[in-house]
Amino acid sequence: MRHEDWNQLNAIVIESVTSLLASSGVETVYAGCAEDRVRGWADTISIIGFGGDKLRGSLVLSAPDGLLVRTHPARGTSEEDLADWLSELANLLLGQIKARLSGLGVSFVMSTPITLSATTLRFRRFKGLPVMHAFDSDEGTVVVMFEAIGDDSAQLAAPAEEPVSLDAGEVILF
Amino acid sequence: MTSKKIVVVDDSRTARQQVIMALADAGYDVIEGVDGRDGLSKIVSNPDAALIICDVNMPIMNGLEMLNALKADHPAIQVPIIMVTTEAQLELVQQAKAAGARGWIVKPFKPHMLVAAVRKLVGDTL
Repeated sequence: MRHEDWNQLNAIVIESVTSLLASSGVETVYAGCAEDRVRGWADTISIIGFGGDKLRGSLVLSAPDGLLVRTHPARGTSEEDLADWLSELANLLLGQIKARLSGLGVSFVMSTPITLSATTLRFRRFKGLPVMHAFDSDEGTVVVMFEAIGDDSAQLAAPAEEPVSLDAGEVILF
Repeated sequence: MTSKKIVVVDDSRTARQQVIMALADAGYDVIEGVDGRDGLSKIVSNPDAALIICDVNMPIMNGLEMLNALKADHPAIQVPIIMVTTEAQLELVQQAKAAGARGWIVKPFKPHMLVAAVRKLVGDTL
């Protein structure tokens, strides 16, 4: 993919995170893109994979417990509740990214998410460092890594003239 | 009066809890399924259910596979189904419609919107 496509992809990730958290009542401020292996990771993260013709990879989400407690839809507070909610948030986030990308000619299949807990998290890859997006909120820092591999010949298309996806929260009955 | 029964199939416990809270507040009884295969089993053992609410991306058997299996293997069960999912592609919505789904809701959703859709499909007035 071209450099400008990666920039557009990153903008979509940032827009999706901000929009999803705002819908849960959490305002965030984008704190930059960090090539930093350990920045801001909480002890628990959720990972969800995706794969398609043009793009494949995984999304890693880390959020502070305070944010998870505040936004839990069923007011859960146990460790298990928060781990499950973090998984669901990763699923919701990748779903929103997928919907935005589908209008640019990129489609992929999503895996189901998993949540992991560790005392220290460190991400590495053999070529370069993973790019992580940080978002400041009044509950602490949310970190999102969108680790993607794009086909060299693939490009994001011009925005579709007709909608190809529904909006979050949209309800249709047949 | 007996409450109407609704089968909720989602691999996320949080998502099921969110749906259950909304439906319980509206007076419905809920039966839970944790994936498509479990959901199919719950539907077959509760043929008097008034409605099915089902996620799409689930392990073991996804929601569209569950829909197709229900249609192919249990044609006598004619229960309205709403898909509630993060998936938003119109292509998938059309697939679900062709397989017999009666509605599609994109997560995250507003609980009152879910309840309104449920009431409409089960024939309950407000």
